Amino acid sequence: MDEKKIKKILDDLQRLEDVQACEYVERGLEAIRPDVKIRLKDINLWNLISKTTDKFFEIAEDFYKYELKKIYFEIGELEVILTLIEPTVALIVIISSLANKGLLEVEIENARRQIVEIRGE
Amino acid sequence: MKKPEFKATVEVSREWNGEKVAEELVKKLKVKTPNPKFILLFTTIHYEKEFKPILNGIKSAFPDSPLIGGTVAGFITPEGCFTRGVTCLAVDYPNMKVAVDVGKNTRKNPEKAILKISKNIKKTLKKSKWPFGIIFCIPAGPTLPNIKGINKWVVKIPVTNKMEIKLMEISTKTLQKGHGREEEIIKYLSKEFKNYQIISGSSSDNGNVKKNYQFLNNKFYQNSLVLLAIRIDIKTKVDIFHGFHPVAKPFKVTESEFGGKIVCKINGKPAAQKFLEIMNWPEKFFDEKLHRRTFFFPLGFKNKEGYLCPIDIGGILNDNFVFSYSMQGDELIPLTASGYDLLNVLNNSLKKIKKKKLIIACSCYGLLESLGSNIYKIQQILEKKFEAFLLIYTYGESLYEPEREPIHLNESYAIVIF
Repeated sequence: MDEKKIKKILDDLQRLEDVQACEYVERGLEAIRPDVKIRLKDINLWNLISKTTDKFFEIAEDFYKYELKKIYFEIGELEVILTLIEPTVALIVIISSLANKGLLEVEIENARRQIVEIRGE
Repeated sequence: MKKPEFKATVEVSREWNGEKVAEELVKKLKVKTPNPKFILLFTTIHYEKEFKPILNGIKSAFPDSPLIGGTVAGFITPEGCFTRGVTCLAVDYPNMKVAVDVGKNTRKNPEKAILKISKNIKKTLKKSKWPFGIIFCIPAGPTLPNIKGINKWVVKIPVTNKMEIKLMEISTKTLQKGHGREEEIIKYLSKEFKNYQIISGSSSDNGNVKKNYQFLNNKFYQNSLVLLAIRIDIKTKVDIFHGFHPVAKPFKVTESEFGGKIVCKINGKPAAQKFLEIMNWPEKFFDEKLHRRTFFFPLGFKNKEGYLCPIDIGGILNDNFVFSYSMQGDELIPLTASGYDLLNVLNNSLKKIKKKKLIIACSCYGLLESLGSNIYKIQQILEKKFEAFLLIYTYGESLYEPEREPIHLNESYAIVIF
């Protein structure tokens, strides 16, 4: 799988206003993060979310057959959107909780579609 | 005699650099429409610093093709749905004559802008033999007003004698920050172009409602209206509709100002407070993220034809609330719509349409925010019915056709089908 192409997708997402941070996560592998600088100031929170993803994959595996697509949760003034690509592969995007979410969801969906295509190559 | 071919192509670029955007779009457009009769070009606000290379690049490749467009919140094309990117529609059809123009300072004096456009367009299309006329235009959408130096959506200033109302008018008409006056624009257009069908979508940004731009050929503008007029031998179908219905009892507006753009009193009480009571909202909802709430809870009024018109609250000004355009009558109704309503209304309006060449649609930014990635369901609806399609997300939609009152709405769809 082409890591460079995944990074480009993440860079394009990260450049959008209100995207605090994003990454591509596959269970058992190191996460891929954008080259573009993230806006999220609390790096410990970012690392904690990253580390906790394996626990979300446990839930995802159980619910995937019921077409689980996304998990949302709010932390303080932030919202974390975990978009499942496969039961053990996810795109994680952190946004401000009052961001223009509808617009961002369109681009998160586009990122998901592009990643699916790259994984299929 | 065999009718000539109507060619339409819609292309997208997701490059960030303006020169690369133009290069990609030109390459794609030349495949199906090497000599388009006209081009529509829309970008999201992310390309604000790239307008020049984009417009110059497209116009250099298509010097004989008039171009209009502007900034939008997002768009839907055969290639996908996007809230960051650039899209281009090119149309080529021999039985068609087109003219384009720009009218400036539409917030200051929309009538003057339209009279200037009308003169030029009528001169260019005077000798056209084609029986049907259709106009597509992009007026400047609303922007953040400037009230005594304050650039906010919720403004509290210690003034007397309704001075805040005067300051709002000054902000729009003198400083050109505030209302787009699109309901006036469509009214003046309908007078000047009585026999044309007219559809319009207000240029927009990404929901911040701070700035937006309009394009004509290789130039870009603010506070202006750009217009494309077409004479053609195809009878186009136009329509405007929305998916909202009343959710509570109507209430009486007992005082309003600025031609119905500012509501001062509801049932004799200060409007802003009364609105909070009716909606059962806390006062803290009136903050700088106001639109994250009010765009999802439009109000409605009945126009002269008895049609229910959704209208958004754009700002709070002392005890008053400010609409994005002028209401009519003296009654307002809280409205609601589910995601299903917003999709079904489009589906139902296109039910009888069999495979057609092209649809151009303007839909409200509020619907994009509500539906999010579910706008891919709209793409699926359009794919089934049209060979080419372009839907842009705007800050207001207008429509006129002969025998019908001109209308401007929020939270709606305005469509033209070829």
